[in-house]
Amino acid sequence: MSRPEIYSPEGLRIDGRRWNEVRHVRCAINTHQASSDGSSIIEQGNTKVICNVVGPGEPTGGGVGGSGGNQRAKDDNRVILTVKAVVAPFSTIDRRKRSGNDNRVQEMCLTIQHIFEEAVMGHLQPRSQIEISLYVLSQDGGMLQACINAVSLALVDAGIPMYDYVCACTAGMYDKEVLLDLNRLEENDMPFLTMATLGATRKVALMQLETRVGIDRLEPMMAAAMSGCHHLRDVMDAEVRKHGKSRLARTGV
Amino acid sequence: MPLSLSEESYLASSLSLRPPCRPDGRDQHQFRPLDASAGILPATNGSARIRLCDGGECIVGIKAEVVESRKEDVALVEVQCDIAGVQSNSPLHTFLCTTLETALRNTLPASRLSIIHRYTYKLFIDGIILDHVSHPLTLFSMTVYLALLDTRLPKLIPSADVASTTTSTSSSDQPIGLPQFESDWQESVPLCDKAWSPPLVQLAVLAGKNVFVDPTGEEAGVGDGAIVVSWHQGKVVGLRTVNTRDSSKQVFSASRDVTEALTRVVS
Amino acid sequence: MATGIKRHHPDGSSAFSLSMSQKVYVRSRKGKATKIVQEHYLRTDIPCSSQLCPLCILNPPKDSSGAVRPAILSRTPPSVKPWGAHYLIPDTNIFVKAMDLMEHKSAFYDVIVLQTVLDELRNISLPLYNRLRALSLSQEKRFYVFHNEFRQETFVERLPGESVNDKNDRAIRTACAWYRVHLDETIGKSSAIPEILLVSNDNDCLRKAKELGVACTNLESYVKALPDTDALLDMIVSETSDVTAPQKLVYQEYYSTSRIQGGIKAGIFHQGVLSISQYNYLEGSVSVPSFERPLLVLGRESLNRAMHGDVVVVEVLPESEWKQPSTKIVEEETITKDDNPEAEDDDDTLVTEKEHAALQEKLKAKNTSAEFRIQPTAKVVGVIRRNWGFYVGHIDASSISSDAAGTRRQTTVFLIPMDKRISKIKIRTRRATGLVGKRILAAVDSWDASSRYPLGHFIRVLGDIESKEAETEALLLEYNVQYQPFTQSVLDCLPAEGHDWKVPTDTSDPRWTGREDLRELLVCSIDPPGCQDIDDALHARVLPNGNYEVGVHIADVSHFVKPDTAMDLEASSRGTTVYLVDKRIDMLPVLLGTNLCSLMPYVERFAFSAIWEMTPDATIVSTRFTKSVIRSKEAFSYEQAQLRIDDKSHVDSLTEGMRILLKISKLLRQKRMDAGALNLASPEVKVRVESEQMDPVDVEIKKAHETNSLVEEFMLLANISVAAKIYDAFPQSAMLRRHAPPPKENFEVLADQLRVCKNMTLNSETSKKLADSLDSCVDSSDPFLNTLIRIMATRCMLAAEYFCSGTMAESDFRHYGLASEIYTHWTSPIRRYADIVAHRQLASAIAYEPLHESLRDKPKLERVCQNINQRHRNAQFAGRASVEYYIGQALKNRELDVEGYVMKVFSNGFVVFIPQFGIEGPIHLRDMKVEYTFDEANYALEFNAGTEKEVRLQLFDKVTVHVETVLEESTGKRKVALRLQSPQIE
Repeated sequence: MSRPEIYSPEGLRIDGRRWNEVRHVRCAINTHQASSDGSSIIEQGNTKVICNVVGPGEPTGGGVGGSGGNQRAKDDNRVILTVKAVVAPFSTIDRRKRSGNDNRVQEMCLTIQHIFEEAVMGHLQPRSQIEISLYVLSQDGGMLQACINAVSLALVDAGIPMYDYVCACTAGMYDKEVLLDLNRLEENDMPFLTMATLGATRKVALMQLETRVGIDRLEPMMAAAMSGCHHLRDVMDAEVRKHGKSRLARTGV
Repeated sequence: MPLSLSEESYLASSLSLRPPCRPDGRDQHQFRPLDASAGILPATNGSARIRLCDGGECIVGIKAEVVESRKEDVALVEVQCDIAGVQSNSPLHTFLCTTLETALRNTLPASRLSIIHRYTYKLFIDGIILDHVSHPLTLFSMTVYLALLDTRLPKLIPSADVASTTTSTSSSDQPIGLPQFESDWQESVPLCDKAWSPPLVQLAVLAGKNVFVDPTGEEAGVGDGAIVVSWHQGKVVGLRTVNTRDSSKQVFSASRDVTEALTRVVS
Repeated sequence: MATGIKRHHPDGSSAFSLSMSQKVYVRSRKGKATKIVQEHYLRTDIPCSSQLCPLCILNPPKDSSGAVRPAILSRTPPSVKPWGAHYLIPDTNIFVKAMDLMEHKSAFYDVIVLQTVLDELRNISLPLYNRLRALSLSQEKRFYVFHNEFRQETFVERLPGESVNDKNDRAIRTACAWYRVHLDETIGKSSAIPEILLVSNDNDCLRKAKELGVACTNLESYVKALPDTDALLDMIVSETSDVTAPQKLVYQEYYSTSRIQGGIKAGIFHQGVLSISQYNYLEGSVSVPSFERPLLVLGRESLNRAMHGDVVVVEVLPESEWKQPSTKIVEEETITKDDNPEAEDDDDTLVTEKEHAALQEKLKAKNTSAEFRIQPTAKVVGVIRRNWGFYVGHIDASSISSDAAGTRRQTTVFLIPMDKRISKIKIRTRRATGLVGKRILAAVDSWDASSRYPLGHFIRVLGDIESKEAETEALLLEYNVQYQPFTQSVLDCLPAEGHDWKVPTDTSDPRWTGREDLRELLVCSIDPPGCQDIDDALHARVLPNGNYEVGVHIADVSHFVKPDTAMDLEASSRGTTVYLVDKRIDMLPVLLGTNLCSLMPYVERFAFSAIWEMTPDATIVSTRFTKSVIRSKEAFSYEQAQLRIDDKSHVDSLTEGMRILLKISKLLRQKRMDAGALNLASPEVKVRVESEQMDPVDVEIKKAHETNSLVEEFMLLANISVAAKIYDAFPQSAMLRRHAPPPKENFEVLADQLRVCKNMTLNSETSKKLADSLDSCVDSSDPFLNTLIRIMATRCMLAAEYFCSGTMAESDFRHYGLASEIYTHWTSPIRRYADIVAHRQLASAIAYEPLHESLRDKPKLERVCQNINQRHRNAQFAGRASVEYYIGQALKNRELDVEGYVMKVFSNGFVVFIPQFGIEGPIHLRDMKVEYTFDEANYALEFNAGTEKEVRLQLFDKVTVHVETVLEESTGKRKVALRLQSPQIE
């Protein structure tokens, strides 16, 4: 079997999208009322993530495999975020068991923690703790972006005050072509960055790039990723509003 | 929130009554309503998710890999799980995984997974218990059961060449072909059929002379002990008592109901 | 800018919505079975790309730079009766069978290539896919790739029980039907609507297409409707004979893929590249990692249809059947001369009597031979990748059956490739007699187990045999040299000023930024006489502190050739300039090579300079690199430079500078030799160890001037300095060149030969020891012997290669021949692409300009290296073949006796090397009616000539041979034919 065309000269990607199209996004909030204060499921293409948020509550002294945000509890009047992630062994094509303190997962948790420490109005909940649990059920590229989006939705569902949604999207550079929202095959084949913005603004909450890219290529990638973030913000916002309407309808307000 | 001593004592005595009285009004053999779905993760060979009304939730994904079964003792089933809020490799993990592994290894004939001569499938069953209020064994087992019913294995392309090598070779180091599989997923074969369905493992709580299936956390807390029953195709295939004095047959009929209900979910 | 994809929601909030399906399949690789799920989006904005369609042009899709692809299919497509004007939609099989037709200039325009077809083709053959992609990109023939699988209306889902092939066929028909309807709807009645014509050889598919109302035809009927049918029909890949009839197998069938993969995994089978011996077409060898010595593959049966260069899988035979390499010269032509191509191999025996006899000798030899020459043998059980390409040859006139002459019936004839390692090829043609005596280009299509010879098809006639044009083109094709003129898009990359381009006079011009003004330096160039593409120039002067300043100035090609331009891609693909005797195939357009980049005297030129400060004993004090502007003071030939230096009356600074250069070069050379650099003296040998300064035209041993090595030394120094610099700056992606030490076994035979025949020792432990022992292999009575030994030693060595620094361990960087820890090519950017890469990397390393993306991309650089290594090798082969042809022509009507040396001894002949022409040729003993015995242990042949005294001919012996040329029947090449003159043995 030979490698398929990642980006055909006719301008179509391996799954039939064009360069500036993001995959199907399906998301829902308040999916786990019984077990959490805020919850969400997001599917971006075949990447699927569940997020549960518990809190704000009293600090428990650090969660299992968490990113250890509690150390700073004493000297800080801000909210403490702990982020835990479970990457299911069956989420990859070949089963791969990640131990609880896998470096990649730890790093991702820390990244997410830092992003949301800035996005949450932490000063409103001094000395309290918000526990965020992520479950990655299926991976097809863009695990980090899906996690960030899921956390955003779950925090909104939990009613935690934030400045805006944090929305994330990837963009890659294939030869001279920018591609938005990469799937697994594309991710393996080209340098890409993950960007997160604060809502529909140009405020960048995260820019992560792990491969070398010429400086001249960076700008178009960033521009594309940002537009992707803004698009995701609209999708997420629509879902939140839809959910809000149906809840209001139920309560009869 | 933990029960007070008097609450505990009240619960214990009401459970020991004949007929007993469960706090949620259930019958002794009645399961709580649950929400089950199978095939939720297309990238796995089989998957399922069950949510209990108390918020307990479990997701199981099964991956089948082709392995060489040269060694006789190769384990064909591996069960692992991740439990939210519990440190990994805790006794609870070990209990859940070994209980299910044992049940599966005892009931799953190796022929069901074997592909051709020394190649066989190995099942990796991974569960994530997102939340549990009552003991997660029943929840986990039911989800694994459902996921196994959903599991499909790639179909082998019969190859004349491979067949001939097996018959004609006298020495064992003759080249033996690697198995080739049908590329179309529609052709894949279900793991379970009429001849074999997966085992179920249930936890039941004893209180006095009474046995309760699907115990809530509180019920398990005040019971005199518990039994773990492995149940497979209408038969009890394993029984373990966990800190108990007595046992009863009543759990079995209840298990049968569960099995039937779950099979319906899949179909 | 970002567009989201949504399912069709009932509320339809999104104006642009696509539906999506999942592709679920099992990837079965290396015995693993993995379930794969992929998204598959369906869209409605994929254009039909007909210039007639007003709809698809309205809202064309744009790429990230906003560019729009114009419609490709012509308003007025070609018209063929009875279909009229039409767009063609061929199915996959048609591309497999007739890719040469597709590329032909006379027909097949306006072709719609369906995605289904393209994908299928890629799975069948990557080269064919690449050719089709190239066709669609060139736009010349108006091939449009229509992504039918992504278009909502033409997407076809597999029905239950439907095979993948049937689904694909249905997809093709669905796309045809859609095109038909789409064009009808959009074009309207105002203009003629082109027919959509499906071409397929599958009768079932054609029938179903008719039912759908799609116009269709099979390939043969279509081609028959075209003008010049015969030539076109010949180009269709021959059908293998009817598969329904049970075939008698001539060869063993290959093992199944699963068995081969299992065997390789278990270590029972081995995979490697098959190379066929130059002297024996029935002997191949495969080098595999698990065996120290290459595995021998002997005889037609064991070779089992594998051809030279194929990646094969072999099974090792039992040790009792291990043999030594052939000691015989076996050529196919002499053995299988009378085979009849039309006969379908009805004789049972695969190995003919004569072939058998040729092999027998090997069995016998087994017991007598020295132990070290026994090699494991193996047989081919599978072919992983065919190396089939184009083959140039001629039709074997004797293979044309007499009744076929004059008729237009399709007959089968043999094409005999020029390359002796390639089996003859069966070709079907209607013009057999017309093709006799022509050089012909053909391709191999298949080789069934039921066929003795491979099956191929005709592509085109190059010209008459021995005509200069045909032979030159044949040679270029044989070695895959790109010789077409540069395309307009490449020429458009040249400076608009053309020949009038000048270094800007105003030093504030941006092009001067970062450049040093070295115009006042006394720079000169020294090259072979008549050299036009002057890559390099030198200068030297005494510094106030008594040290010397030495500069090497190289043409600044990277100023003109910017990365990723059409010119850059072309140069990267060509890799090197190819020098033939009477022709130079340039890597870069001639304007650059011989003018703008060439460091001609008396004019200002952009250069890239390496400048050293050295102590008088040639120790480097400092090194620096800079872009510069120079003005060469003089262009010398080697001889002129030598004369000028030697002439004491010249005392000007330029000459003094040259004297300094000479002095330092001698010191540098001595240092290099002390470190163990090899000095391999013959022209060919020199090519292999990197000093490619010599003109291959001159086969006579050239009078070497000291100035030759002067230039060489400084080029080496510059290359080494640059290599260190770019490796330091780009440890992962520096373009370097390495020369691996030869495996010890390679020298075993030569060392034994020297010991037995000449009582000389050869020590190959290190390059230093090898160099020393080569120096000691001198026969005072015969000065050429040493050169001969060096030539033979060179053949034991590995070829140097380009590589990307991140792909090797630093310890493997070493250049064995030059005894340098690190090396690159930097000094000839006009004629080598590697040098251009090194220039760009160096420019970036000195912060002159940022490094372009592509030069940091390791995989990309690896591909570049792979290509230029191959091109470099082919250029050498082509150059040598050109010399051979040239000598053949020069000697055409002459006969003469010359001196030669026995270079190889076989049991039925020997090979003689002729220093005067730098060529070698075999002498067959069967041509001489003499009795002889073969003394293998002593590499000698003993003759019992009619005379009393015994004549003994040993390896390295000096002989006199009679040289004439004959037109070799087997290859159609004019070959030097040798006959032994003395010692007299007849």
